[in-house]
Amino acid sequence: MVSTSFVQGGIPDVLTVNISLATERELLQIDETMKLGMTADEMKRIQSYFKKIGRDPTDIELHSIAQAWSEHCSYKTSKPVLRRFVFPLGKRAFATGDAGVMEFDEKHVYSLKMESHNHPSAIEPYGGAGTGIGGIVRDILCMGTKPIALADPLYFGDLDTSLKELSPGEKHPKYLFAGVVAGIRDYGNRIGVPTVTGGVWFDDRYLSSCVVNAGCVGFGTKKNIVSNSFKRKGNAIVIAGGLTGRDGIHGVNFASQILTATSHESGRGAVQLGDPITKEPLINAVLQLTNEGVIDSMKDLGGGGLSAVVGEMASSGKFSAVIDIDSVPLREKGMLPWEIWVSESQERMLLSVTEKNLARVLEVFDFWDVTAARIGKVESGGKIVVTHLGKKIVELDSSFSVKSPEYNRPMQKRKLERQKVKPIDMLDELEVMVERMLSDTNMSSRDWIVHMYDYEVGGRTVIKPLQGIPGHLTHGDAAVIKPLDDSWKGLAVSVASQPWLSAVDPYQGAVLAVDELCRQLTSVGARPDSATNCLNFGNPERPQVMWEFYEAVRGMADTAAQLNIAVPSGNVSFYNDGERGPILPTLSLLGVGLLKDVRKAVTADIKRDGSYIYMIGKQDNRLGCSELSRIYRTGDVDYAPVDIKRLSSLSSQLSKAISSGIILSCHDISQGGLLACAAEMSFGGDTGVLIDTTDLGRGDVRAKLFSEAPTRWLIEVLPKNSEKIVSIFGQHAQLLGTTGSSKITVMDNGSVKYSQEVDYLRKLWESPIWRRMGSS
Amino acid sequence: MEEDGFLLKISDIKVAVLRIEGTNMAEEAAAAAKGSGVRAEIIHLKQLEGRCSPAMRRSLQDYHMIIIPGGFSSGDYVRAGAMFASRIKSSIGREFINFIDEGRPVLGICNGFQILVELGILPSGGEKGEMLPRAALATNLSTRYECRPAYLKNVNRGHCVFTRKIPTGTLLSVPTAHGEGKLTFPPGKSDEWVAKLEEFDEIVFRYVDDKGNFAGYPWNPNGSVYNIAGITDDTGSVLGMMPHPERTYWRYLHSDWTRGDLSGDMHGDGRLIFDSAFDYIVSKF
Repeated sequence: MVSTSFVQGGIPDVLTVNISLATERELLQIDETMKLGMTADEMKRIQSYFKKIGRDPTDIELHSIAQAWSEHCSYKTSKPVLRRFVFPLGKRAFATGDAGVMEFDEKHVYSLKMESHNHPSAIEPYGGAGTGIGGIVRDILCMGTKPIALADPLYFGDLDTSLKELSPGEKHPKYLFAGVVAGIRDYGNRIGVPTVTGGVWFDDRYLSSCVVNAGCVGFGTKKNIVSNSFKRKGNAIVIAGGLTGRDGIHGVNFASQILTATSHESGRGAVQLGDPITKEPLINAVLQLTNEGVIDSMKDLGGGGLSAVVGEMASSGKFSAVIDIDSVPLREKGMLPWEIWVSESQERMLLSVTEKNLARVLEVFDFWDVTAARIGKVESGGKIVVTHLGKKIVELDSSFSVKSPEYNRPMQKRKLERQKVKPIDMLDELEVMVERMLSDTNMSSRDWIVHMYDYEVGGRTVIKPLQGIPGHLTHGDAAVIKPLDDSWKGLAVSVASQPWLSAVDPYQGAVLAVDELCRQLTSVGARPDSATNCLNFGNPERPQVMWEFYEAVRGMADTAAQLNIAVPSGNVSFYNDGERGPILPTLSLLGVGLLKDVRKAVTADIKRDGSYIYMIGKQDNRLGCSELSRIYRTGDVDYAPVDIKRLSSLSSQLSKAISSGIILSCHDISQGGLLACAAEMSFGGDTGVLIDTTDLGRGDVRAKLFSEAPTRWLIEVLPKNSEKIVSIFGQHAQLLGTTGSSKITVMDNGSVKYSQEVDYLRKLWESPIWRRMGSS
Repeated sequence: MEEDGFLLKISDIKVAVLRIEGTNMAEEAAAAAKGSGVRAEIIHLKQLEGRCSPAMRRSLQDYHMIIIPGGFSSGDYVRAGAMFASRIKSSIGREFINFIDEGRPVLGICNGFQILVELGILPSGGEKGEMLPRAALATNLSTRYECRPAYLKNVNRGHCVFTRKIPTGTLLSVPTAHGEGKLTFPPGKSDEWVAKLEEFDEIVFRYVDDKGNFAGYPWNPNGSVYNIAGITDDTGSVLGMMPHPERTYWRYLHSDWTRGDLSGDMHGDGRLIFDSAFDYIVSKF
């Protein structure tokens, strides 16, 4: 403690911080003592502000600014890049804010948002993941929309990592994986929002920082959409939901730093505690109030707590907020004003309501047994004012305190290592290769996870994440929700990510992720409409990480723009970094597609014997950045890039063909290539398939089967509909084989190259995660 | 109850869907009931207890049927259903028992079944309980929460009103989603209890595989004794079941509907359970 820097200024529980005369060294000491997480330049900026207004700040004022200026709250590193590439893609949105809101039909809208909860999950996986769900649900709720589907892309180190390989402070991926899935299960299932899709990736580059992204889709009516900003002078400010305690203090600063060997101890206080059974009635109460139209504006308390939410609601600069910190309902005694102000306790919402509606609002919260209290008032001006014992302890211009400096951080293109491409004929025989691929944890069945999530609570999940004959379920490409009782219109939901290609070329990785997202949404018969994202990267102060981020954003935006996919919201998580270096550049996408009639949707499982199997798209036998190249280390750099025009036209032709009813099943060709795709379709239909690869170009049959060239699907059609398929897709429809028998058989140039029982392969594919994780 | 000398119409039937905090499947249960043309109202227990404004006050007497839907009432942090059950017992316990004694149907789905067991209403074995649990819906044998498709065989011989429209032996597709669904009797008493339930025709649904055979995990998702998925009481008008009939109320909610033809009748297997009860109400009241 720099004792001379902190003095009692006459108000109990509040210290004045002498910064006006402090040297740079003293400023940094203050920063260190108060755990503000600011740079010397930022501290100097604050110093000059207070010099200008002629006084020293209180401790709570400094905390307030530090919260708002954290990377987590301010996006100070990412905003310049996002403003240039992504913000224009929100034009089609019906509304933006904590979540993007898109039109569904004349009266209705859907909303979407995804967020990271990486740092808390790395420290405390169960609670970290649960509160990740809690936070994203509030984002959907505070737009005035009802959360109707969750989607969670997760990334961990290799499950087979030996304990010896872990560095101090690192937790074993099995522990993190089990904890995160249990956290999502117990929170999501309890609040009654179905988890309908997701994904899990395993790679050693997530060993020191796991990535846990939580996405949510909401639904509502246009007239009930609520603003996230103060709109009216004289309104009451109400806090509702959970009580405020000491958990999650400095969570945003913690999330804006890299994890170290001691973070699991020192960062624990920054992890919030979730409570789904406070959340469930809060959701009901807020939706009821939204329907009654008595909320003027609303925002959820997340990172930075009250400090951040009050600042952001006042950020237009037209209104002031005056908050009486003493009226915030507390969970524990003896909290200091600054702790109350920055606490990230969960399950809380801040509402602005007119005096006339205040009584009704409090009555509804009371009915649902949700704590709610008036804590302040909206006034004109542009100030954030906090009082304690009747005295002002914060008085900041929001134009200063909420608007953090932005950074254009230096970038450096990463040089790729020269790789020797191993020729395919030096690798395993096809038989061994198939087994190794299907039983790889990155390829194998996710049913260990999916059955623990309630994917159909709400009674709206028309197409489930696992598809096919009960007892023989397989992976689907997207889930479909039917949000209205009296309409057949549907929403398809899917997630996509391409971390390995992104590590080679972050631009192409992002393009391929959008390609994958479109493929998956199209597979069920939807037209891709919008996407939200979570951009998870290492320390942006590393020029190569900054370059990865820039390139990923550019790739995503270029592709989405050409496909007319709106990007109405997004999230950035930096500092996923450590002694092992940064994580893989990880762009997670959550996409929503629209279906005119859910009755026309199709699933991935083969429906009958004697159908034809066509490949839609263009074969390319390059193997770079495929499962095969990853497992056999054959080199990454030689891969087939996406042709966005082809993606656009095939995707729209295919979703039309599906709506016309001539396609029995459809699955996109992704990880594991053609063979894995055909196998998964077989598993779900419990029937075999014969594939002839002769016409897929020259080359080794293994390359034809395992290439992951983009923009391809396998479809099943009745033989009588062949002509229609050829007339729709022309050269981009290739007849590959037929369904039937109990085996998966591959022919090439007139001879059988592979044949194996479907049952045998299914067991190989189903067991890897169960074997490693056990039954719970 | 409305009686004007004419037969009760389906659209006159009023169903109370009872909830507290954490009961998160009230809407789907109400939607299913409404799908059959009855009136369904979601009611918070507070409204029956009088802990609300006068306008919100409700009385069980005004309803023909109660559904206690699925969810995690009060978080299920104690035994599943224990909190909701003890709140019913301590406030509207008497009215609730009277409701059943009058032969008005009560359907407990998932958490609702757990609550009926905690209330001591199920299982019955031919005699009324004393509001003390006589069995438990214990943690699944797999130790996992299990959300998956399931097949049920209607084994009731005619005692239960919820299977009036379902021929004995019929296979229904009704999915499950729970962590605590293993029907368990006191140690050493399982055989005795199963025999009693059989004798009084109180077993309603048993888990079977896709061919209709009694089978183990995952077809029996929780390891329940005798593959029991749902039971009734001595009156036959109470049904507690772990699987969710509202989740296959419509054909397009079945997990494998894309394998069949969706034109024609849009109703799914779960509807029969609701319609049986409504049919009974119309005939009785």
